[in-house]
Amino acid sequence: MIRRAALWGAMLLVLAWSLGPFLWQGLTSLKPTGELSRLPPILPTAPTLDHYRGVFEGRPFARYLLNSAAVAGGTTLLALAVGSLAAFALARLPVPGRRLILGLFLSITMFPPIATVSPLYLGVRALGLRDTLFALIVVDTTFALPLAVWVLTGFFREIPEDLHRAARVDGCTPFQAFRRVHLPLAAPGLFATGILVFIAAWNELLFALTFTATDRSRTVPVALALFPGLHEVPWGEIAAASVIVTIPLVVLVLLFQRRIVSGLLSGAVK
Amino acid sequence: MTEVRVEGVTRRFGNVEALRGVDLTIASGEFLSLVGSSGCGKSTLLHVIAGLERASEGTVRFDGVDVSALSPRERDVAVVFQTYALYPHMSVFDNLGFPLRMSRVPREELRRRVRETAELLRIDDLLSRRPRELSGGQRQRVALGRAIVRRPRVFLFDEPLSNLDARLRLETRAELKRLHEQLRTTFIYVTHDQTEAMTLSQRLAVLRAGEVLQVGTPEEVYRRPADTFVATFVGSPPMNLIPARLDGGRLAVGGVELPAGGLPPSFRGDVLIGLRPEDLALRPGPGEPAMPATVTLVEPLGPESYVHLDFAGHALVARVGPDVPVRAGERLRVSLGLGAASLFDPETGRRLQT
Repeated sequence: MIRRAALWGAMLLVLAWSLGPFLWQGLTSLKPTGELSRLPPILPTAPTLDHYRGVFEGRPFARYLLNSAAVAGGTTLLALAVGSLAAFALARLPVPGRRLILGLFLSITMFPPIATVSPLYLGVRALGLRDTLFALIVVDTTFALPLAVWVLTGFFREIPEDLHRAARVDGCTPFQAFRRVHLPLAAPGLFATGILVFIAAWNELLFALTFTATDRSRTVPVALALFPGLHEVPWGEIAAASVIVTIPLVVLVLLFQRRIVSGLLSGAVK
Repeated sequence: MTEVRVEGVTRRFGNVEALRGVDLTIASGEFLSLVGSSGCGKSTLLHVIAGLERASEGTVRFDGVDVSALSPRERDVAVVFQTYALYPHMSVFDNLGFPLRMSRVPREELRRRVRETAELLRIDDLLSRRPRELSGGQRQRVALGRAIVRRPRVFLFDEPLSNLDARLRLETRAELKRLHEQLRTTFIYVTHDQTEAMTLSQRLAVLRAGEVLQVGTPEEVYRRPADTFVATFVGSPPMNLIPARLDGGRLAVGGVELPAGGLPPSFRGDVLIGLRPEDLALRPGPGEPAMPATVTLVEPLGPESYVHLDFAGHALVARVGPDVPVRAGERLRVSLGLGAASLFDPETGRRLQT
């Protein structure tokens, strides 16, 4: 009895911990402006969609959303394309020093992005890519790749080596073996990795803030950072915007849930 | 029809030598088994012949042509793997057709050859299934089919039967032999199961620690093992080995002397006598030389029995017919059947006779 109660208590605590901030944002986004900085009431007395309307007023928020989708989508595709090739090679081809390479990849993920902002900015400017989505895609990809390669290598290693041998005997070049045998079998891993990369790129603020200058290429996190005006912080609209940004992620995860779960499991069980 | 010649092949993994100077010729159309316990290098040798691994030293020739630098695709070999290695995301049809697609066989011919192969192996009603919907035996057939469909120069088998249950293994074993008689292609077959090697192959090569100890027909290897390892590895129960002294045509073993009948008289000194269990005879006729022994255990198998004996402190196993009545604890006379005995050097384990 007590054990059950403790278990339920712990579960509620974890639930509140992880869902609480999101719920709070949701509630805030529905509160009339007058109730925003008052407590009680916890629940809005007269729920309103004013803040949601406000988000799209006076700024091209839909454009920001599209930019974010383009950056996150592009980064995901690029990272998966390059990452899966690298991971396949590291997992199955006779690459000299592959342990060292994987170790380097892992250590790169520990590198603080802020330290690379200035050189990257100079590079982007020199290439004339400032204020373009392409620059963001390329930079985000370089930061997503080490983790993607690391995770995908694990997935490719799970595919039995005899399958690779069979593909070679059946006449595949290494690339054909990759495309016809390994890639279809690593699909769950690609989905799982893709989601991780997409979320990271979708939420990326530092580079997006540094490399963009106009609405042409601003992404949602940048827009959110620029919400606060000179004299006031529009808490309601910030809350509404953050709810809007979260929805595509939730939809995406729900959409691919079964594939991701099987992907995560296939990494755990032989 | 391709003759495979392995010349001085050494394969190192770091400091470990998986193969050491292996020389082996497999005749065109021959069924040869590579047999040995796990870690003896037999699978590595198969991979080197297939082109899946490079030899560190030495060459592999197909019909005299050096193929050492060629990929498996260029060597035109087919491999049946122990794990079957079917492509799980493809139907049986696509699994069978995969090697043909890779070599750009026209669609109509591909269809026809897949059908022919499927009929040959009686899996033509499974063509639309996925591997996970098949039983172990059916998967095995698909793996076999994927090898046959290409009509390769050489067939390589890597323990293809070891994942099957006992009955299916017997059936498939017989089928493999039939298949070889039909196809008349060179078959190289890796197994740790000496019975499989004996029953299937025309010749077998016994490997240990990366070296070929003996190559010969099953009869040769069984009757005239090259050393004590082969003697005990091939045959079940294994060959009995007992130490003895040979001097002037007489054999001193376990405190008794026997006329070394059937043994060449020129040997002198310590030897190991190797005796096959079926060469031991219990309660021989009064004229034959025999020695006293005690029965320690009887294992009846139906058509025959294994009788464990204690002979002057040495454990022996005799294989006798079902109608020989023996009981544990019984004392009886045993003829050692020295005429068929093998003699080994006790130091090196090498066979002494030619």
